Amino acid sequence: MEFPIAGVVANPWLLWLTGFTVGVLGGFFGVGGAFIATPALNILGFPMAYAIGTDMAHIMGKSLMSSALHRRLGNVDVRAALLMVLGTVPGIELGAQAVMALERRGLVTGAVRWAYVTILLAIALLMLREVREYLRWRSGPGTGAAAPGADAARPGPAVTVLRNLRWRPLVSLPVSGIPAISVWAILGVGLATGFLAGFLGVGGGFVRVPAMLYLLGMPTRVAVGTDLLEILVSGTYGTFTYALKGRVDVMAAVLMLTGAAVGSQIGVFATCYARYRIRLYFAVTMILTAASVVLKQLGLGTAAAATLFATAAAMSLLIAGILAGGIVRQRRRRDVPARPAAS
Amino acid sequence: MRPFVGFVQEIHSANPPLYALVTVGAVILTAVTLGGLATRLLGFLGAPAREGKEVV
Repeated sequence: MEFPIAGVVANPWLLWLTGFTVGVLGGFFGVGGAFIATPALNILGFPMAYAIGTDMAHIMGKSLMSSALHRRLGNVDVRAALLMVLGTVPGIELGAQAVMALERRGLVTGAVRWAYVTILLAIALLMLREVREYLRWRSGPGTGAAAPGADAARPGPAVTVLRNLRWRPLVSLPVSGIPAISVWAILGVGLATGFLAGFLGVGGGFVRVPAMLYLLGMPTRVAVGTDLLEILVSGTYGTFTYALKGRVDVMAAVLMLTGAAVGSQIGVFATCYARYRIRLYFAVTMILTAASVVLKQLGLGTAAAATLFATAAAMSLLIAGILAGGIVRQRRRRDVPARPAAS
Repeated sequence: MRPFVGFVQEIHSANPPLYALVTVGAVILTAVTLGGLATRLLGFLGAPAREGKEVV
């Protein structure tokens, strides 16, 4: 099929599949998915500027669908999202300036890639440690205490420090279960994650979700839903500005959206059945993404792309499996007749 | 489909601000329409539909 705006002939089914896969991952993890979709579009023949712009438009539409659905499930903290956006925007600009400074010294590619790998692995290890503690707690004798890493668990030291900060104005985030927190704490987290997003040249969802979990102490599903709303805001701006420069192929973006429409619903609904597996799969995805970046740095571009796409496909299947399994269990439970009371 | 492709091709080079608006509008319209249809489909298959319906 011909895409006349970008001047490219590409297989529409592969575009649909890319949208579907990124939709599943985005709905489940609360990430935009540019780290998969942009290289995929580029491999399908779209010049890099069109790949970024078209992906931006597709991510905007996907985030609109996913965040609307998460909101219906009670997973979006609108106040937190809007406050974080205010910190994220200058953060991205600072990150971009840091990249420019490194570029002038000829250090940008290596520095950005190794920083990317370090951050991905640090987040993955943090999440894997929590999953291990949770599984130990689950297999041990019941103590009545909240599960480690569970939303009701005792908050970590970073959460305690940020929540006890009393710099006015204070704001309450009832959806996240936070009675009062300094606006500066939220803006600071937005600024830091925005800096990393600007520095690494990514949307930043994979940094923001862990930051909301480990710095602000938000529940996992609320962090995922809230991040998607933030991606919607930044994605709308990005789409408009790239389209203004003529670098969005609207036909390709709409085609990818038809795949994302199905994929994102699967990802969002699967969060209802996943519990600790959101963090486990997120950690595994981060480790494999880091491996693909290392392969690219070593000059093994094909192996890097294969690792990335295989990871995305495998995770999408696992997530779809979680949803299917959850629905089947739910139906079986409904079908079991109530037991008569013991006499 | 063909008239829409012709229209966007024309405004892409002739009127970039209009192209940007049409792009954002087309993405929102597609997302809202397809998102609604997919939610109904999955709801029909048994997916949880609203707050408080989670099963873990």
